[in-house]
Amino acid sequence: MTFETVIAGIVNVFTNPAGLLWVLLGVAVGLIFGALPGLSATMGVALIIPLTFSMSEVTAIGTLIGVYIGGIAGGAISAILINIPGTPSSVVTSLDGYPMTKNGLAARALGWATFSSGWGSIISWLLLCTIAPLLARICTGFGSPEYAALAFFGLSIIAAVSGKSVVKGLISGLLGVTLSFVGIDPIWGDMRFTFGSVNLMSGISTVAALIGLYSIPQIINSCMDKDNEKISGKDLTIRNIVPPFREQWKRKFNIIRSALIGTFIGIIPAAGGNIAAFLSYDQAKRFSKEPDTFGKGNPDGVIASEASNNGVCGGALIPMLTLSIPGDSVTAVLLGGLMIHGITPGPTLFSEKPSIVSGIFTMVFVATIFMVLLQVFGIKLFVKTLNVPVNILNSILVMLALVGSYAIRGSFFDVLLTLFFGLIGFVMTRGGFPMAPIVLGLVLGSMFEGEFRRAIKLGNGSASIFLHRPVAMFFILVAVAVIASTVISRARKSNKGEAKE
Amino acid sequence: MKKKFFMVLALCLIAMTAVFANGQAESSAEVNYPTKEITLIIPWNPGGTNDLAGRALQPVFKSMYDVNLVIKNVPGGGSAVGILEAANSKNDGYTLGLATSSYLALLAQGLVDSTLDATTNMLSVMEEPIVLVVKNNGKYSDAEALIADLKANPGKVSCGVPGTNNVNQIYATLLQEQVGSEFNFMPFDGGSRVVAELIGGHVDCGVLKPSETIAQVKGGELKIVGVFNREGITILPEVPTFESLGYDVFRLGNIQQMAYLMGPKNIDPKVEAKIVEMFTNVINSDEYKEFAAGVGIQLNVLSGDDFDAYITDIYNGLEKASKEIFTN
Amino acid sequence: MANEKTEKTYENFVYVLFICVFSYLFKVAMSAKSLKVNGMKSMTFPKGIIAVMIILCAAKLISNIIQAVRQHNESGESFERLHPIKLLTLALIIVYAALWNVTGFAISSLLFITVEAKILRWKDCSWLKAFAVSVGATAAIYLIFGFLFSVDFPEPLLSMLF
Repeated sequence: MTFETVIAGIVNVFTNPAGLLWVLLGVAVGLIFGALPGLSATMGVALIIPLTFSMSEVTAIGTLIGVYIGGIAGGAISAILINIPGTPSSVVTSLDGYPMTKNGLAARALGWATFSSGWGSIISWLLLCTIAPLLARICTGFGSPEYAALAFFGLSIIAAVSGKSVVKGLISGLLGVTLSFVGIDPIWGDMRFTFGSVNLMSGISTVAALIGLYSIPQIINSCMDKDNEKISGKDLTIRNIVPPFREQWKRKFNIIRSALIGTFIGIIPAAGGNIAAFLSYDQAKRFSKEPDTFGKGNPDGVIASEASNNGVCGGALIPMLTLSIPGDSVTAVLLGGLMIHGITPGPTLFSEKPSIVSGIFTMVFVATIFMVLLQVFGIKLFVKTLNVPVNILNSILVMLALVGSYAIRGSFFDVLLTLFFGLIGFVMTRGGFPMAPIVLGLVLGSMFEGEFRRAIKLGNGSASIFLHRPVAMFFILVAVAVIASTVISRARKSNKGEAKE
Repeated sequence: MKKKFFMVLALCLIAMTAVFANGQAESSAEVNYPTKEITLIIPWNPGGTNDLAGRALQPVFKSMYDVNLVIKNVPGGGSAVGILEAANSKNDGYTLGLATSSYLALLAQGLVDSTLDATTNMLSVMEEPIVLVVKNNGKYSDAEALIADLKANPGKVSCGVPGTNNVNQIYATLLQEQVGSEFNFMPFDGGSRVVAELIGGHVDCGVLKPSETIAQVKGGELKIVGVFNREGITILPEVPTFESLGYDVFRLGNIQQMAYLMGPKNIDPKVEAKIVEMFTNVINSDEYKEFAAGVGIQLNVLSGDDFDAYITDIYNGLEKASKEIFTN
Repeated sequence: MANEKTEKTYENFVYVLFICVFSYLFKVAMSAKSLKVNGMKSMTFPKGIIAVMIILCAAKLISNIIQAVRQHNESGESFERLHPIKLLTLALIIVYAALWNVTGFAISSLLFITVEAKILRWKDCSWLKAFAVSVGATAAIYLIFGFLFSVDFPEPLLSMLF
């Protein structure tokens, strides 16, 4: 890649105003898809692909990347305002985002989410542009033992998102893990817990469960609340929304660390935004000077979640562009989109079509900027939803929740699934059980089990294969340390005379 | 008088026949289809090969017939959910599905409550031969080296399979049978994961479709050492068939991983004929052929009796395999 | 939110529910057809997790019961019953979903939002206002999801008209 071709690619993007408008539209569509529960960035990208047929390759990819980045960032909007995550990646954002809304800081929470998403995206973009081929080796370096260890580590931090009771968090987590077993056995192909239903053959849809667990209890518990204090446009100045640069600088370690975690998780194919968000949230809590404020409205929680889930975007593009291996489900569709336009990503892309590569890099940057700008100016509008009277808001939210789960794949079964989870979630929430570990267990349970069994199979029946894999051992040891420290700190707390839990 | 009468009658009959004959030809040529958009159900998540193959039809349908082809992704049940939805939809010819051998495998195993005849199976779109892939510049330089290692170390050579109980696994099993040894099968979630494991050196070989590996083969990361069909691969002619290497892997028949167009039962035969005609022309267009070559898909359009024989062959082979090979 | 006694009651209910359900799942796992394979069988892991779950729930339930017996409800708190409107809302949501396949999405949504918006604010919201909101919201969803995002809503009645 010569300097001239790199510059040519960049210039191409900026001298094409129609193209830039398409990217802006893509980001807007992405934000809407991300904000509405049930609609995902994957769906958005798939929907836009036919529109891109008549565009030039770089514009087409730019538009799709815009939907991607917007889609991941948009999930924070509903997570913060109405405690219903718009995408699985923003489950963790609601943990602190919604309490901030309850404290009257909705606009500031959204501002933090916006800028964290922006920084996460930029940092992973920098890595993408500079050392992508090198980082791609992480992708291929991950085999089953490493995946199993990572999933194990993910499960070990359930305590971090459990709220006040670790045991209840554990029970929620185990529920999620059990639910993840439903479907086709990953090694032998037989049906587990499908009870003859063809709809359960592919397992329990995370999004349907998510919508049920979060929205139904939320709607029912809040339907007799008084209306929120009216927020007027006057209160929503740029100053109130955008976190001051000084504040952002103070939290730079959180932002950078979360973005890096996101990039790393994005590079690994089987892990996505929700895992990244959980891991970053846990790390942020661990390194925070006031860990007990997490879950009550600490902006660091929102920052960690949003910086990492948008860091996944840049990270997932790394193996996609360098090795033609998609980093997550959205990049799988992106890859398809590229191939329809006749571009085959991989090692040959860098050498044969360098200007397209630099064009794509530029598009990631442009999409990020658009995402931040659209949100900053859109926040004034978003926050107005809180002005809607509770009776109207909650009724519409019910419809939105059911439509959302129906929209996943046009199946009424998913609506029933959402209702089922809604009932369970309602009863459990009243009993003080946290919902986040259920989602965590659902996502990580089958991942851990499948990868662990594969690792054993690879090692011809013995677990000693783990001892020969340093990366895997690293995650396992960290997980053990996490579990030990959680047990010790809880024991200390109960010794101080707290409730017997 | 009688003569005149018969002459007039004869003339009338001739005239009527002429009108009728013309009328028949007209009505079969001008069936009123399509008058609105056609929905093609892809029973997979967006981004896979079949999804791509379906989406690439859209621009050609638009330019050739000015018809809107809408892609609807209905994933679930290993393609069962989507195909069943297509099978149960209205039989006006406006909802079709792109099924694959994966669906036939589910039918053969009795995992789906349906039969091959419960749907109108119209034409095959593509056939993707299964290939054996290894890491380029890795442990094995060709098929012989791998087979030698397999013979010497039963159960130690790992083979990545995307999913379980599918055509990929069938051919790897038939090969190990012929060699007289055993692979250590490693099932993964999808082809791109197998590709990643191969490049990283975690598994020794993989059974995949060319479209899943073409980018990495071109980029020098992977190498295809053999193909499980009789004709070889058109885009990579130097790859030997296992038959030519002396291993008959067709004991159960010529089972292939292929994709075909289907719809609900009892579609008007004239509409069906039009559908077959349109899809055949679109798939044989230069534009579509170019797309297929670029992503490594091998087009194989069969319709009518040829196609019926083809799909029945594959289904029977899968039925045998399900009894002998599949683990469930 | 709710007081501790209410939380404990729901919590115990969850434990009882889980013990029953997970015992059933364990039975399903035990009776699942076992394949002749070398390596970990498919139900091994699930059985382990389900067993841990049952034990954990039973232990917590027993400890809660012991604690309740010891304390004899000293705090004087009483169980907070669910507000009848909330219960009604829950029931209406289920009815709404059930009606999707009977009267179709559009009609069910119109009915549901109108009724729900009214009962949550019986005094301050008129039937007309609730209905107007309902029409607006349903139309918006139809436009965004149905038209823009090509979602096919179940419409057994309306499709007969068009």
